Amino acid sequence: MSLPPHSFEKVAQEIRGKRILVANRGIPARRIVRSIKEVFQAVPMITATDVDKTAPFTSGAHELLHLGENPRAYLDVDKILALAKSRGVAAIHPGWGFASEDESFPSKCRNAGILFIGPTSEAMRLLGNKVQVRALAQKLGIPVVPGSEGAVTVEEAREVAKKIGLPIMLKAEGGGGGRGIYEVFSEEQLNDAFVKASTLAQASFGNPRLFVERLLTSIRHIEIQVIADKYGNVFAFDERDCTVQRNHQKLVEITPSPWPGMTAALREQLKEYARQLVRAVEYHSLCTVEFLVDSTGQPYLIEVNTRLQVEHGITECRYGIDLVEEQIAVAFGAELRLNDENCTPKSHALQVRINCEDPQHGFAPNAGRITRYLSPGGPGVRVDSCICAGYDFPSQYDSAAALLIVYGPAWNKLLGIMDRALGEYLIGGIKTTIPFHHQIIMHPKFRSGEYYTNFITNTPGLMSYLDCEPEGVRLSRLIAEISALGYNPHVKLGEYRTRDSKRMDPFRPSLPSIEPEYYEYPYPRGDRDAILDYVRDSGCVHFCDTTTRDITQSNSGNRFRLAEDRIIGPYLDNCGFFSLENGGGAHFHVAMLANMTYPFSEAKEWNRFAPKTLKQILIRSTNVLGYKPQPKNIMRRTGEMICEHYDVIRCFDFLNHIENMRPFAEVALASKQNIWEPAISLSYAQGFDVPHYLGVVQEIIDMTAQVAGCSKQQAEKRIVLGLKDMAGVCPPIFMTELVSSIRKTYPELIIHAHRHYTDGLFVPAMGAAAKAGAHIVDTAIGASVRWYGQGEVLSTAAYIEELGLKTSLNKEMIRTAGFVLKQIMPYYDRYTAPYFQGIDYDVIEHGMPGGATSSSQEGALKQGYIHLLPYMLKFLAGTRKIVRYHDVTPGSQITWNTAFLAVTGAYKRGGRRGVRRILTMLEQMASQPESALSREVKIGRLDIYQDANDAFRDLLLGKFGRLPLGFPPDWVYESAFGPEYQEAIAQRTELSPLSTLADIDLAQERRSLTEHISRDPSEEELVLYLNHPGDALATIHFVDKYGDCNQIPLHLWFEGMCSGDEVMFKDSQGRHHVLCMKHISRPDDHGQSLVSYSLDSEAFSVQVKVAEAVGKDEVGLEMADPKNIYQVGSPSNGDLWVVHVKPGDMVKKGEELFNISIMKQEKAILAPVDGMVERVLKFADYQEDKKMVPVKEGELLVQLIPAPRKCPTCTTPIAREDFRFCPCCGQKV
Amino acid sequence: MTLAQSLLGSEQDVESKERIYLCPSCSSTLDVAHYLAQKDALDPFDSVLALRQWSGRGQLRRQWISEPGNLFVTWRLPQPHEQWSGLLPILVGFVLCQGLRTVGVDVFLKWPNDLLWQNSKVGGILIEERGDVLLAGIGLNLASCPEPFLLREDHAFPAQNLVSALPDLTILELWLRLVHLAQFRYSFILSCFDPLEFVQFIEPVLAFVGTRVRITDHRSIIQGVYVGLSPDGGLILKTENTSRILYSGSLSTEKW
Repeated sequence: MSLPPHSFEKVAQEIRGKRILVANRGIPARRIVRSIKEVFQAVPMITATDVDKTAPFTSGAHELLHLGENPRAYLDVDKILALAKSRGVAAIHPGWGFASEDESFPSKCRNAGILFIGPTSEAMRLLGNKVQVRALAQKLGIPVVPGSEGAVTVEEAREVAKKIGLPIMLKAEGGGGGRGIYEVFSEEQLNDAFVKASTLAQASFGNPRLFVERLLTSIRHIEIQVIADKYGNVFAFDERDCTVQRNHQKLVEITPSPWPGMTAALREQLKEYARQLVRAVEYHSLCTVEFLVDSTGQPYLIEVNTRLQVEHGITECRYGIDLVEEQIAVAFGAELRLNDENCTPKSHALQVRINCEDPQHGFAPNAGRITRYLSPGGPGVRVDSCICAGYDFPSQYDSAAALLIVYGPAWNKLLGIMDRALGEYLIGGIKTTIPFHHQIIMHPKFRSGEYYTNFITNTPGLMSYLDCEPEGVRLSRLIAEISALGYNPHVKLGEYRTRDSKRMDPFRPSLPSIEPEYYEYPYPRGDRDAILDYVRDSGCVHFCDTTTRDITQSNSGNRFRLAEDRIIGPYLDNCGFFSLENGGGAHFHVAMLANMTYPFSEAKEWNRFAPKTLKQILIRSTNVLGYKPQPKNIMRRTGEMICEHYDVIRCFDFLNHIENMRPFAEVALASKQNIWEPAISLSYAQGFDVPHYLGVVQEIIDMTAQVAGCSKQQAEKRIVLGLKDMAGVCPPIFMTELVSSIRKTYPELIIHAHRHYTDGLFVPAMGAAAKAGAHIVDTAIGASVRWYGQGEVLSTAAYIEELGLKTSLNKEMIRTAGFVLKQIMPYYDRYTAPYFQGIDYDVIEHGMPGGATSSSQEGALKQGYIHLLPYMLKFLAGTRKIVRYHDVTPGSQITWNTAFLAVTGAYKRGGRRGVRRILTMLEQMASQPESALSREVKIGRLDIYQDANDAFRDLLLGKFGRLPLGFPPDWVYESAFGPEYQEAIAQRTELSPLSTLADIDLAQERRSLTEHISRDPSEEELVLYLNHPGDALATIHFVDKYGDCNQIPLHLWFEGMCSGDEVMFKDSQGRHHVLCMKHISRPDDHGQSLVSYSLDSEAFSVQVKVAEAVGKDEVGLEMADPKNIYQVGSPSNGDLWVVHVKPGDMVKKGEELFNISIMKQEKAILAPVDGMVERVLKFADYQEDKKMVPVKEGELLVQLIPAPRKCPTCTTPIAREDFRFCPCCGQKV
Repeated sequence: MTLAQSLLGSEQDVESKERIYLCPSCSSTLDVAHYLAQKDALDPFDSVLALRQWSGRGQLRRQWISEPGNLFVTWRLPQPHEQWSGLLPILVGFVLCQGLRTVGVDVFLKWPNDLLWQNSKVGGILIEERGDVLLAGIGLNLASCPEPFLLREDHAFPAQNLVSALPDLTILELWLRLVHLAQFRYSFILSCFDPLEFVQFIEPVLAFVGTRVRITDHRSIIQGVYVGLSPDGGLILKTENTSRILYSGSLSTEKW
C-alpha cells in the first residue's frame, strides 16, 4: 500500500464516466446502481440472464451485461469477467448473495485487471473461515462461543463436550449462514451424529472437518457494521439487531437494538471487538461482525461477513450516509472520510424484508404476475424494491421483492411509521410477507424488545391473519361478478334474471329528515321490571313492529338486507313501538345463507342506528336458530349472545313442550335487562281449547318460578306471555275467550299477541285479543304488508281505537316510514316475492303457516303434482285431527311432507281413485269411533301413513318432545312403522330431547373453525358456526373475500351494472368509491366473461365464469379456484396419465381422482371432500392408449359438486343443485 | 433364524431407529407401503423391503421385472418444502448414488430417475405421492437384470447388474448401509441447501452433463447439449439456436 491516500473528492473525479458493473440482480443490483450514479456519475452496468433482461430493476442501469439463458449464470465468475473485460469495465461490485461469497472472485478480478469492490481474496479467507476467525478472536481476547479450537476428532469432540457441557453443535468448517450445523443433546447421540455430520460435510462442502460449539439458547443476534480503508482507518457503526429470524434467515432488522439489555457499554465493547478484528487482518472495504448475545449480555463472536449485507440500509438511515458510496470510494483508494466527529447516529431505523412468499403456507415462494403495486411513502420511509405492477415475478430466483425501511427519532415512532407504511403498501396478484410483518410489528413482545431468536418459532399466532385487499376493491369485484352474471348468485334464488333483463331504476330513495329530539321513547329501556310496569299501567295497547323480520320473512323470504334496515331503522325507532322485531326465526339463517351478513353484527348495528326502541328476537326452543335440536351448551352460548343484542327474547316450541325452553329461560331470566317472552304455539282445532292452553300457561309460570327462584305471583309479573298463531287460524271469538281467560287467571301477566294474515281475519282477531286484554300486538308498516305476514299497523290501531281502547303510536312517523318503505319494497317484490300470493281462508282447515303456504304449494307445482294440490290440502286437514300438534315450524313442514308423500304415493299406486280412498279413510278415522269401524276399514287405514318419512316417525316417537295432546292411536304407528310397530310404541318417550343430547366440545369446534378459516374466529363467528356450520363458513369466507356487501346499493345487489354505468358506494370505513363499468364481454369459449371497470380511476379487469365452456383451445384454460374445495386442479405443470373418475361418480374424501406425472414423479390427486363428480375436463388412460395429456398448473381437471344433498325427511339424494324441492317427497330443500 | 438374520447372513444387531418392514413376497413394496402409511404404521424414513414382487412397477404402471436377489424397497420420505417438489427423484437418486459410492460402486444418476453403472441401467426410482404420503420406490439390480428382450422397446440403455461391483453384502445389509446415510443426507440437503445450490453441487454425479443427448417423449425428440439442471428439476438443453428447459422425456445419448 505505497500509494498516498486520496481524498474522497479526488477519487470521485477519477471514477466519473467509468463503467462499474454490478454482478448481481434484483434488489442489490438496483441499490448499487443508485450509488454508482449519484455522486460518482459513473456508468452503471448490471448483469442479466434471459429471465431478467427486461426486469424492472434493470431500468437504472445504463448497460446490461447479458449472461444468456442459464439462470445460474450469476454464479459464473469466469463468464462474467470475460464479458466484463471485453466491455471495458473498470470495477465490479458483487452485491450480496450469488458470487459475492466466492473467494476466488477478487483475485480473478485482479488478474483480469478489474477492480473488485470489496476485500481481497486473502482477507475473505481469513475472516470468512469460521475456525480461523475464531482463533484470531481468541488471540485478540474477543469472546467466542465455547467449543473446540479448530476441527476435532470424535474423541476430541467428546472431551470438549465434557468441558463445555451439553447441548453442543457440530459445525462444518466449510459451512456458513446457519448451514452444516448438527445439534447434539446427549452423549449417546454424539458418535452417530459425528459420523453423519462429517460424511455430509464432505458431501456438501468438500471438507469433512467439524468443530464443536456450545449450543446457546435465549440469544439475540447482534451485528456491527464496519468500514475500513486501505490506510488503516476503521470506523464501526452502532449495532444492528437481527434477532427476528426464521430458520436462520433474518426477517426484521433494527438499529439500535430495542432490547433493554443493550447497554451503551455493551455497544462500545462490541464495536471495539469489531475494530480490533478488522485491524488485525488489515482488512479494507465493508464487513459485518456478527455476535450472539445471551440474556445476561455476554457476547460471543460467531462470524464475519466480508460483503455488503441486505440490512445495510438501516445503518445508512441511522447515520444519514451511503455505505455503498463509501465502499466504492475506499475500493478506489480513497481515505475513509467517516469519523466519530462527522458521523454520528441521528435516527432509529427498522427494516422488514418483503418477500413474495405465503407465510401461511410454510413461506412457499409465490411467483407470478404482480397485478397492482403501490409503494408506501411519506416521512421516514425508504423502499428498495425490484418489482413493479405488471412484472412477472420469476420462480428461478429468491423471493425478495423489496426492503421496507422506516426511520425516525424513537422506537415508538418507528413502530408507528412501519404500521402505517405496511398498511400503505399494496402488492396485488401474489402473496407477500406484508401482512405477516404487520403481525410481527403489532406483537406486544416484539414491541417490548424482549424476545430471542426463537420468537417466530415460538409464536405460531403470528400466522393467524387475514390477508386481504382493501374493501372497496373487494366489493368492486363482487359488483363485477353480479354484473357479468346478470343475477346475484349469493341470494340463492337461481338465475332469476339475465344481463339483458329489464332493469329497475337505480335505487336513489328520497329520505325525509328526522329531527334529533323529535320523539321521546317512553319505555325505560334497560330495566325489565320498569318496562313491564309501564306496559301494564299505561292503559294503552302497545305495538311490536315486524317490518324488518317476520313480515319480510313471509313476504320476501327474508332477503331484506341490513343495508335497507339501515335506511328504515331510524324511522321505525321513532314510531312509538314497544319493540322492533329485527332478528331470529329463519332470518338468522338467511342472513348468512343469502344476505351474506353476520346476524349478530347486524343486531349490534341496529342498536346504533335505532338506539331507542327495544329489539325483539324469535328463537325456536331446542332448535335455537336452526331446524334440529341442539345440545344445551350451544343453546346457552347462543342465548348469551342473543341477550347481549336483543331486549325481548320470544321463544316458542312447536309442541308447547315448555321444558325444551329451559336453557334459554335460564339465560334470559338471569338478566334484569332482558324480557323473557315464552310463547304458546296456537292452533284452532279439536282438543286445542282454552282449558288446554291454560294448562300450558300454568307450565310456563311454574318453569319461570323455578328458574328465577321466585314465587308464581312474581313469575307472572316478570315475563311477557306470547301467543303465537303462526298459521293465522284462530278466529276473533276464540281469541276473546282465550285472552280473557288467561287475564282472569293471571291478572298481572302481560300478553303479547302474534298472528299472520293468512285467513284474512288479522284485524278483527287482533282487535278481539286487545279488547280481551292483550297488552301488545304485532303489526307492520303498511308498505310492507302483503299476504302471509302480519297486518298493517294503522288500520289495526284504528280498529282497536273504535273498540274504545287507546294507542300511543307516533302515527306521523309511521306514515313517513311507510313513504320510505314504499321506495324500497318494489325491488324485493320484483325479485323475492313468493310464487303463490293472496289470502287463503282455507288455512283454517289445512293449517299451513305464513310463508310455508306458498313455498309448499310451489313445491307441488315444481314436482309436477299441482293437480293433486287440493287432495294434499284435504289430507292436511284430515291428518291434523289424528296426529295433533301445532301448525308451526318445524311441525308444519312435517305435516306438509306427510301429506305430500301420502297423496303422491297413493296416486302412483292407484291414481285419483287411490288418493280419494285414503282421504275417505282419513275422514272416517277422524269422525268415527273405533268401535264403529269395519274390519275392512281397519286394514285399509294402514295405507294412510305408509309413505311417511323419518321426521314424521321421529315425531311419533316423541323425539322432538312431548306431543301436546298425547300420542295418536296405535293404528297410526302400525301404518307408519309397519309390522314392527309394537317396537316403535315401546320406544316412545315424553322426555325433552335435551335430556339425551350430549354437550359438544366447544374448544374442539373452535379449533376446527380456526383450521377452516386460517385465523382465530371471533366469538360471533364461533356461535354462527355452532348453529349452522356450513352456511357460517360460506359467509365467513364471503365476508373475508368481499367485505360487507351491505355497502352495495340495492339495485346493484340484485341486478349488477351494465356497460357505461357509473355508481358511487361507500366502504365500511366510510370512504367513497366511484365505479365506472367500462365493458362486460360476452362469454368466451371457456364461458368466461371479462369485466373491465375503473375504481377510483384505477383500472381493473376481472374474469367471471358465466357459462359452461364450449371451445377447446388452450389459451384460456379454465383454472380451478383454489378457494373452492370442489374444484380440483393440477398441482403443477405435468402430464396427466390416468383419470379414475367419470361424471356422476360418487367419491369419498381421500379417494384418488387422477394421477399426474410431474418430472417423472407420480402424484396422486385425491378428492378433497366427499362429493359427486360433475365434470372431468381432461382424460387420460396411459396404460390403455400410451398417451399422456399435458396439463398446466392450476388448470381445472375435475369439478366436484357437494355429495348430493339428502332430503332431510325422506333421505333420497337430491341429484341437482338447483332443485328446491325433493323430487321424491316434495320437501322444500 | 429369523428372516432378518437370514437376510443379514449373521446374527448381528440391526441398529436403526427407523423401521424396516420385510416382506418375503408382495405385489409391490409401494402397495405395502401405501397400506402401512394409511394405517399410520409407516413414518418418514421407514421402509418396506421385499425379496420378491409379483407385480413390481415402474413409471406409468409399467412392469418392473422383480427377480429374487435384487433390491426392491420403498422408502417413505418426509414432505420437503414445495420448491423441492420437482427435484425429488433427483434428490433421492443423488443420495443413493452417494451411498453406493461409499460401498465402492461408482454409479451415476441419469436424469431424472435412473441409476447407471458403466453406462448401463442398474436401478430406478419411482416417486409416488398420495396426499401427505411421499414414497420412493427403489429397484436395484444386485444379482440379475432382465434379459434384453424383456426390456421395453424404447429403452434408453441396456440393463446390467452389480454382482461384480458390490462387496459381499446381503440385501438387507446393503439397504441398511444405504438407508442410514441416505436419510441423513436427505435431511441435511433439504435444510442446508437451496435448490439452486443443490443442482450445481450434484453435477459431478449426473451422467452425461456437458455432452450431446437426446430427450424423447411421447410428443417429440429433441437433441442438444445437456447443460445442467434448473433449480426446479428441469433439464437445461442447449440446442442449436436456443436453450430449453425440459421437464419430461427420456434421456439417451447420441449413439443410442
